[in-house]
Amino acid sequence: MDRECKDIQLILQDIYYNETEMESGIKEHLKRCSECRAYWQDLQQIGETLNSLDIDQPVDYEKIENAISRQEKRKFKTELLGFSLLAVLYAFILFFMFQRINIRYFVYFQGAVYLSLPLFVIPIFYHRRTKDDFYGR
Amino acid sequence: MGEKSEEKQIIENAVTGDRKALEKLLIDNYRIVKGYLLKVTCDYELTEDLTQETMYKAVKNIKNYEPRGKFSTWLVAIASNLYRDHLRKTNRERIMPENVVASISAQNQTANYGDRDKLMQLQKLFSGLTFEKRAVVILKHYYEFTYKEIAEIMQCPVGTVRSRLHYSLNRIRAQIEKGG
Repeated sequence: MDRECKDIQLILQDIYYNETEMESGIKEHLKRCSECRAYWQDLQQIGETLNSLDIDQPVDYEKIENAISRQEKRKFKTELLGFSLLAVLYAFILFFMFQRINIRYFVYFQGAVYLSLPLFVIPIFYHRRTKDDFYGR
Repeated sequence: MGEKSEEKQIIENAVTGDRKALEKLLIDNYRIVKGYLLKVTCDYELTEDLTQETMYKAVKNIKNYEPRGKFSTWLVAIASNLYRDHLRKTNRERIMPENVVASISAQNQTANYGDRDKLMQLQKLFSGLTFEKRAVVILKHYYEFTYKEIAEIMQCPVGTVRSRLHYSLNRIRAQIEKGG
């Protein structure tokens, strides 16, 4: 096989798979070169053989559902862990203050924390509203 | 064109956390992922596992997804990486073995008869081809990805895709001739 035929056959492959258009130069070459003509036909034959072996797979909705709920569970666990850590930290701070600091400051601190709680309503509300958002954005 | 921008919109929604949009994307592209995996692995059970894993990886990483071209390109790239990992872990040959008929029927108990027969023939056609080369043929022939998209999926230059396809087609042609 000469160099030209080798290149032409690569181009024939490109044409067969819609990467490029059939040009007149190639058409001319096919007319006079039996080897490349045979290759063109082989491409069709390979294509038909491959087509006959295609196996269509139905959509398995369960797998998609599984994937999504697995991620949701993961996110839930992360949130739970975060919440637990926060709670432990808070308890620790309280305990520390109770031991070391004047009882009055302790009461002030508690008051400040409880009064600021309503401020969290807005972000929580926002989070709930977009609860389809399960990636923690 | 309308279809394309529609997918773009759905992708945008999915990336920003819309569960319905993500579900739709996965449903729409499920057939490509599973069909590709089945043909590239020729193994029914493994395909089930890898498909499930691909779906999970997609859900997990969707927030980092950067839209460049078709969504299926991304999913198929995930699937390919998972299969590559599997091959590495199991120390399996990337090359499809020649003598397969015995092993494949054991592997594919769950597939129905028609599919099993097709898989066996497919594996015969692909025998001697590495994973990378099989993947190129399958992506090009069955799913009509462009060279550029395949290059992105397989992380190699476009020229390599083209020459791999050429090599594989020649090899498949020889197999067809051998098989009568």
